[in-house]
Amino acid sequence: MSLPLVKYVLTAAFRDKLILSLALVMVVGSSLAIFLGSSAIIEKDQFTVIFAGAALRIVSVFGLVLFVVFFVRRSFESKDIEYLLSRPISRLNIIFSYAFAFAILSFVIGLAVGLAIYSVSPHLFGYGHVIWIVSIIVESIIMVNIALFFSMYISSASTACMATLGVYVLGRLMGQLIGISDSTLVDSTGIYAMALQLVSMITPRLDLLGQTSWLIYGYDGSYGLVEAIIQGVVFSALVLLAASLDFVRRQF
Amino acid sequence: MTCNKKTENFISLSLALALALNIMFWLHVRTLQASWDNVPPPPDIKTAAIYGLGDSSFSYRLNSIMLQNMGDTGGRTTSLKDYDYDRLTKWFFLQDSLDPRSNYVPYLATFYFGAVQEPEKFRPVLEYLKEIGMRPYGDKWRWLVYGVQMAKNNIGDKDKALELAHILASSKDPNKPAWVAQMPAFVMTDKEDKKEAYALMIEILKTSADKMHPNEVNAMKYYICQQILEPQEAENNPLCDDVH
Repeated sequence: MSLPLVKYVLTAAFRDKLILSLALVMVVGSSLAIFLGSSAIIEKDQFTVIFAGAALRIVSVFGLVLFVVFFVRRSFESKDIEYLLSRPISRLNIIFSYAFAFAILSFVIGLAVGLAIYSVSPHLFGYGHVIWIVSIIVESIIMVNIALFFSMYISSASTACMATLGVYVLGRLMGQLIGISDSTLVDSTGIYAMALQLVSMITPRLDLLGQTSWLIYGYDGSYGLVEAIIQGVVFSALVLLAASLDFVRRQF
Repeated sequence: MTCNKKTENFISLSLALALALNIMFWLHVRTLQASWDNVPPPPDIKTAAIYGLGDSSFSYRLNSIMLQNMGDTGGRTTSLKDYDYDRLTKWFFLQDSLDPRSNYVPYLATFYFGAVQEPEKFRPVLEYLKEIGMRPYGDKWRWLVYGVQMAKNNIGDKDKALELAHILASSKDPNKPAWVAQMPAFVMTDKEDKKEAYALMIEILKTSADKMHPNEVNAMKYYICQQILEPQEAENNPLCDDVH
């Protein structure tokens, strides 16, 4: 791990006004959630916190993914990567320093989302909120690592963004898709069902993270911190090692 | 230079033409609104959470706001009697599968959609209220009370009201008030089945009076003597001796 490189990435995030723009979006998103929640005839606070939680979760992931993809592609195009490779720093070091810096950003943004959720409904705050915030940080870390992976492999920034967000949507829906596949609605031994099972093996189960029901009913014990962190570790390891393999083999 | 001037004139003319076409199109669509084809069919329970990107609670809230505003958007208003209540009921059940703890949809079903001008249309919703009213948590018995009231007073189906009242009386919710157990007797009285109503009230007094608040016991006695028994019967009944 190269601390100057980590600092360099974090400086780029500040320079790109990532934190500032996401903070602004969170204020606007929370305000919109309050507005929408106010239109409900009862349970206004529950509506507000769920709309805010669901929206800010997506916004923070989108913001982080866009930053990571464009930062990495810019590093390649401006020859920053080639310059780094000319220094006494290993390729693995570069990948893992980037990943660590992106994880710090995910942590900060996750805390900011948690603060926004707390501010719209402080009286609902409880252990469920803590679990929700931690799982949102884990989700963000998984997504920045996927974004890093795709931006290392794919030379087009827009295609890498689309691919990353495609995985995000797939990860959010995977629980539902597996549920349909396992139900009597479809033939579970059919080719599509088998393909789905195969894809699900290498897709993060993001639907298990950040469940907004925790924000109003508290933590139900179905899926805890340990599982969330294990998922984050094993999936991040998978995509980071895949990205490392490509980077180590690449000829410049 | 002349060529450039000609091109500029051509572009200006085309721009004016495009603007005129836009205004003509606007005049054509100005009053058009997308038609509302009544309550849409609900999605399957297994796929419902997809609307919230796999988040059931988010799907529930999105659908709830949609149900609340359905038919009344874009300056349009729709009379409650024009809603398809069969489909609405399916939506209520779907919502129940997404979040069985919230009281939002039961509230919407009873206090909003329950105000329908043709109460008979509300009949399918009674099945929904029956289903959720049996839950032994979160004061869900309240929705069965509304079901009984709706069946008895609005729809005028006292048999259905009695069926719901029996279910209500057997509620396992430890927080239910004492009068919930008396609900079948209230409906029986209304049905003129006063002997059954009397027998039920006496049975409750025999088995539960010691666990009830004295005011509740007095209220029961008052109801027996004033509502169930005829004045002649009340005079001869020792239970009514201290009831004025």
